[in-house]
Amino acid sequence: MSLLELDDVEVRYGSVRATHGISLRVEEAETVALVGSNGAGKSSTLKAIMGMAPVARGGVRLDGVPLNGLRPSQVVRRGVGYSPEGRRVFPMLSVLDNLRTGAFTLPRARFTARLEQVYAYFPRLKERPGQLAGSLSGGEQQMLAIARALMSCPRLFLLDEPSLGLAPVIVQRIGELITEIQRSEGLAVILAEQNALWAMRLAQRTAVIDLGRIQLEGPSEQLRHNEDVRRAYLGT
Amino acid sequence: MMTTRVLAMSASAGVSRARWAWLAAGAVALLVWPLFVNEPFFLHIATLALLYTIGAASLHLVLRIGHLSLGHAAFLGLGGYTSALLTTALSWPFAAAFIASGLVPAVVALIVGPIVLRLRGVYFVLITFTFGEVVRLVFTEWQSLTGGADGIFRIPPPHALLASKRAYYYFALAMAVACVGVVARILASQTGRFIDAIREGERLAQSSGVPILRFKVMVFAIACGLVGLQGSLLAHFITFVAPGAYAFNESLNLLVMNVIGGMGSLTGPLVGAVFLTALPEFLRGWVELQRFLYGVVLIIVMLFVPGGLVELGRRTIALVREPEGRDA
Repeated sequence: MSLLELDDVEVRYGSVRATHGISLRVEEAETVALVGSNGAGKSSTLKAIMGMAPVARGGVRLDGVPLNGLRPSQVVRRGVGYSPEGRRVFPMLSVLDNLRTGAFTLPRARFTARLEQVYAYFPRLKERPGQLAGSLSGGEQQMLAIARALMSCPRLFLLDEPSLGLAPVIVQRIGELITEIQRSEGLAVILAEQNALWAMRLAQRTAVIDLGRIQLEGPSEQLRHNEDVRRAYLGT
Repeated sequence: MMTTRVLAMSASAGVSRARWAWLAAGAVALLVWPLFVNEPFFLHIATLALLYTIGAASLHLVLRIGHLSLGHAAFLGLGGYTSALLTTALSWPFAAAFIASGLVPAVVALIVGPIVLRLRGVYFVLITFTFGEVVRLVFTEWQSLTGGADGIFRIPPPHALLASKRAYYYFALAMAVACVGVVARILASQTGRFIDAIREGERLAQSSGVPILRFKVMVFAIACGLVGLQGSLLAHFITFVAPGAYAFNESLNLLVMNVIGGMGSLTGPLVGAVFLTALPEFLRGWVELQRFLYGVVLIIVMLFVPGGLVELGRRTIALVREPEGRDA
């Protein structure tokens, strides 16, 4: 049994189908890149796992237990962390209060210890707990967005477009952090990215999503060197 | 113990000693002035202002979760009628009726909250407006219970000792401090940060695991319970309740107190409540122009100080401290 199983998941907004049947397995402590162009259905897939998108068909299971019909707060409680697209933070809240909100499902007794763990990954945040999140730089905001989602101690971490709109040097730093966090926490990560080559370097396995379906799936190393894949999906 | 915790929290928020000195001076002034000015008219206005700080502060809670309610007076009325009926028809002691006048609106809010709080923006505004009108119609039409358009008269004072204006002023002061204290405590706590998170990014709060609807319903119920308590205190102060007192313009009044005072912090609705209770009295001399002047003051504040009177005060202080008016 895999940690996460998606079976033929169709997300439908009224008459618009965002995904046409996504099937995907994610194992414990594994990083999977979900790559594809804008509008391919990456975000909808992540939202379907979170219970934040209307699933018309198919099922999502965590540890074999169906997640369908659960509210996002219940999905978080079961061990799924989610950092949505667009570097989302609470701009008028301090760094620390952003992290507190992320720790909503965490028992209070564990908060301080978890905060120290997360600060260890992101020392920049530790230096400015009182600063308003909206006044951080773009890279710092993305780090805070990741840190916020990590506060709940997830086993499965969904990251939507963490590289979007960031300078290459920051993107590289965030990649290193994702790897470091994944290793030390034994997390499973789904990395949804348009920046396919970057994501594939971080992930052991890659699923290429296009037109609402998974078109190709396999070890990242193999797909990266496959000429057809490079031409069709990676734009090189 | 609570005070020390509040103190610690405020200190971490950078509140200076000077500010505490000002608060202490204000508290002393509120306690002492009636000993020198035993003028029923002023005591009456001051008591009303104190009671309205409860309603305005409770509506501030609703605004903080990102919802603009135009039906808050309905809950004020539910509290007022509950207390009036229980003390007159059933001869309950005031204390029991007072508790019920908080519980009844809170329970009603727990029932309607899960439905209406799913709505956002203008839809929530419209549904709360409609709810307010429905409640007012019930007050008017259910004559056997509510006395219809005439309402209920001769509501007894909470206690024989509270029959005088001055005594009721102190009673209202204590109650206002307690109720506003509850709001302040919530906003200063961890819950307050979650409230702010929900307002700033509902979807993001949701993906952090915050059960937003449950949170909103809880805050809404507390707010409606508090304004119900104001309803009770108000009913026993003016000794009657009637449907007209809980109409749309009363909901609007509570909202305008928040807008005029400033919606950024709890100080806003407190200042707004005092200002808007006093303003019509000072405009009494121009009865025919009262509504008009009220409107003019509103427009001026909204146009030139969108942050409300609190912002106006801040600007004035900044100007006094730095007379050149240099921009930072």
